[in-house]
Amino acid sequence: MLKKYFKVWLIFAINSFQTQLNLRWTMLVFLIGKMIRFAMFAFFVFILLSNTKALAGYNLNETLLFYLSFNLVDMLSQLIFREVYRFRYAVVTGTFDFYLIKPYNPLFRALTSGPDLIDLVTLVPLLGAIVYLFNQLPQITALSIFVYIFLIFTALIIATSFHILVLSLAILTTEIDSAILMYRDIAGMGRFPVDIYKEPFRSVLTFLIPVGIMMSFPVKAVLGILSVTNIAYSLIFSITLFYFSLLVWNFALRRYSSASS
Amino acid sequence: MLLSLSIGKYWAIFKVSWENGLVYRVNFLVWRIRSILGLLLVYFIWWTTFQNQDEVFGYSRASMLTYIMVAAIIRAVILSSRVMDVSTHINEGYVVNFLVKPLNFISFYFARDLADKLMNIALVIVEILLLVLVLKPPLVFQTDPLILSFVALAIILGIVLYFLFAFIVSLLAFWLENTWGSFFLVFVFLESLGGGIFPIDILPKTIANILLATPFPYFIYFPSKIYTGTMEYSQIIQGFIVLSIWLFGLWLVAQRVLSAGLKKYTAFGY
Repeated sequence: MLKKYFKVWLIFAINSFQTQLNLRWTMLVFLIGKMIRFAMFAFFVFILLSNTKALAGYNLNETLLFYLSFNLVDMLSQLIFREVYRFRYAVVTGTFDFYLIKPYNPLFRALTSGPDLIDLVTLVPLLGAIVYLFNQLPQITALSIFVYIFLIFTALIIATSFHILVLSLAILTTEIDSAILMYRDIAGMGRFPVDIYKEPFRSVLTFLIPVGIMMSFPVKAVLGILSVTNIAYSLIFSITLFYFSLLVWNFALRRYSSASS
Repeated sequence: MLLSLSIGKYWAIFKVSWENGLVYRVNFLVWRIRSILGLLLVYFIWWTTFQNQDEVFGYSRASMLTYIMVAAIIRAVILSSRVMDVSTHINEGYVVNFLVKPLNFISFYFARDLADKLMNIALVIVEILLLVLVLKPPLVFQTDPLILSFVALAIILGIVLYFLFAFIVSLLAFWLENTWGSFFLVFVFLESLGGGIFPIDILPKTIANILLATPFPYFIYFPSKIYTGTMEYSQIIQGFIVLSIWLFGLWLVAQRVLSAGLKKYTAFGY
C-alpha cells in the first residue's frame, strides 16, 4: 500500500519538476528571490543581536536557530503541499471529479501531487546551517536532537492538518487563496521565538494558534528548556488536530457538488 | 471644458475601482488582517528589544515604536496597488482596449491605484488606532508643521515612485510570458530594504548609504524617518533630491518601455 503510494507520488513529483523546469528563468528568479529574502532576514537578526546581545533571553545563535527552524517547517510544508495552492482551480473547473474516480485517495492527490522544486533546492543549505548551529550549542545532546526531530515531525503533522482544513474550505466555499495566505502569515509569526510576544498574544500563539508548538518548541527542546509536559502536549495537539482535519475533509467531501458540465 | 472631461473620465474609473473593491470584501478584509499580523511580528521584535535597554541604534523606545507604526500606515498607503494587473492585461490581450479607447494607459491604472489606496488608508488608520489602544506603546506625536509637510510630500512622491516602479516591471509582460518571478523579486527587495521591518539607518553606514541611492528606502523608510523628527534638514533635502532623480528617470523609462512594448505587441484572437 505505502509502496504503491510512493510510486504514484514519484510520478507526480517527476511531472511537477518537469513542468517547473519548463519555466527555467522564472524558477531561477524565484530561487534567487527566496534566497535573498532568507539572507536579508538572517542579516537583520545578526545586526540586531550584534547590538543588543540577547532577544527575549536568547543569544544570536539561538535566535538564528529559531529563524532557521521556522524556515525548515515552512519549506518542508511548501515542498510537500504546494499543490494545495492550485486546488481551487480543480474545484471550480470540476477537475476534482477526476481525482475522485482514480484508484487512490483524493486527499493524497490534492495535498501532495505538486512538490516544489525550489524548496527542495533551498532545503540543502538550510539543513547545513541548522547542523552548523547545533555544533555551536554547548548544551546539545543526542537526546535533544532526537526530540528536536520529533517535534519538527509534530509541526509537520500540524501543518498537514492546516492544509487539509484549507482544502476542505475550498470545497465548501470555493475560496482558498485567502485561507492559505492567512495560514502562512500566522505561521510567519513564528520566525522569532514566541517569547517576544506580550501576554495574552504569547499564550494565544502558543496554545490556541499553535505557532509556538510548530516553530518554537523544537528549538526550545534542543536548548533543553522545554518541559516533558509540553512535548506531550505537542504530540496530543498535533494528533487531535490531524484527526479533526480528516473529519472536516470527509464532511466537505460529502458536500462536494461537481462544477463540470 | 476639455480638462474637466478628461478629469471626469478618470474620476469615473476611480469610482468604479472603489466599488469594485467593495464587491470583493472578504479578500480585502483578509489582506488587511494579513497586514496586521505582519505588523504585530515587527512591533514585538522591537518591543522586546527595548525591554532591557533604553536606546538601540540611536533610537529611543518611543521613536522606534513610532517609526514602526508610521511605517505600517505608509506601507498600506504606498504599497496597496492594482498596477500589477497591467501584466495580466497584457498577457490576456485586454491591453487592446487601450488602443481603441480615448484613455491614457498610465492615467487609467493610476486612477485605479488611488481608489485602492483610499480604501486601505481608511482601514489602516482604524487598525493602528485599535492596536495603539490595545498595545499602548509610547509614541512620538509630530506637531511641527514643516516636518508634517515634508512627510506628506514624501508620501505623495513615494506613491508615484512605487507606481512607476511596479508599472515598469508589469510592462515586462510585453516580452515575458510570466512576470510573477520579477514581481516576487521586487517584493523581496521592498520587504527587506524598504524600511518596513527596520529603519535603514541601523545598518552599517556604507550599506545604508548604498541603499539610500536606490529607490527602495523612499517607499517606506524615508517618510517614516522624517516623521520621527530625527532627520536633519540637510538629509531631508538630500533625500528629496535622490527621490526626484528616481522619479524623473523612472518616468522616462516607463514612457519608453510602454512605447516599445506597444510597438512589439501583436493582438490576435476574436
